[in-house]
Amino acid sequence: MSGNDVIHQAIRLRIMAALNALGSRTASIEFTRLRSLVGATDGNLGAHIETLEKAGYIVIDKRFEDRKPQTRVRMSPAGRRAFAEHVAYLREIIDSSQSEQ
Amino acid sequence: MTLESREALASLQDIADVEKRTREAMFYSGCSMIFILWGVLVACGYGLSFWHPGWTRIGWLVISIVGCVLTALIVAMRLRSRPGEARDWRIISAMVALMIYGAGWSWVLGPVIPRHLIYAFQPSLVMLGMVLAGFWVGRFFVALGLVGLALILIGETQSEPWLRLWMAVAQSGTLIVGGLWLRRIGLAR
Repeated sequence: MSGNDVIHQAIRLRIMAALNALGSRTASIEFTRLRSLVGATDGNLGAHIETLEKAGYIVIDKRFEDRKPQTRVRMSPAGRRAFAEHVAYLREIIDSSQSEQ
Repeated sequence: MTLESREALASLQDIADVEKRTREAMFYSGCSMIFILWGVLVACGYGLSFWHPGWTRIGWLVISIVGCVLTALIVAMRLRSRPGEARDWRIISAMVALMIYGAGWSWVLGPVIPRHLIYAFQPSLVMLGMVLAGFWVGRFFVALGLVGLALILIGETQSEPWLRLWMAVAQSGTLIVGGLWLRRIGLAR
């Protein structure tokens, strides 16, 4: 098993963790709420979600609500799988280091 | 990609922190409607006891039952949309149990002890429950419960008819403002 370079970057890891915690497959989160949860700036978050979208891990949905533009982000099934695999990889590293000690 | 165990541990810790914050925010938004509902019901209860004192006891009983049924409906709807979130049900069940306990004792002691103590007893029990729930679900509840308790204590220094008016504004105000704030800081769908 190997780690995922796209997901492992600190902000992207937090984005994926937040989206994963939303639970259901259709659950999405508004951009500004995601920003406060992961502790990123607007520009920073924008760049990272773009990277994750290109990798097919998240879906970005831009729409108007009450005539205001709103960006919502949700995890794709591929993203959920990739995140679960990356977490399993992290756990495996810790388990193997503990068994070596 | 290769990582050291220290790095892996830090990443897992980071994931756990973000997941905790996200679940907390989801829980906050789920509770907002319940807070607003109880805020409105409590205001109705005090309004009824002020304008129709003869209906006070039965009025509060009906309000408590309506509140419990609507709370259960809101929680059931949330659980249906998010089956994994079992925490909603347990914490809110505990709060409702506390309310029923307080209402029961208020019903029994109502005719015996001074009215102003009854006005303070049940809401203070609910606010205390909110403080205790806050230790598990988030600091916001601790702060809101303490504000509510402080307002109830201040209300105890008032005399009629201001006492009832104060309790109505303080309690329903705490619940409605709390509910609106929870909606603001929570994660709406």
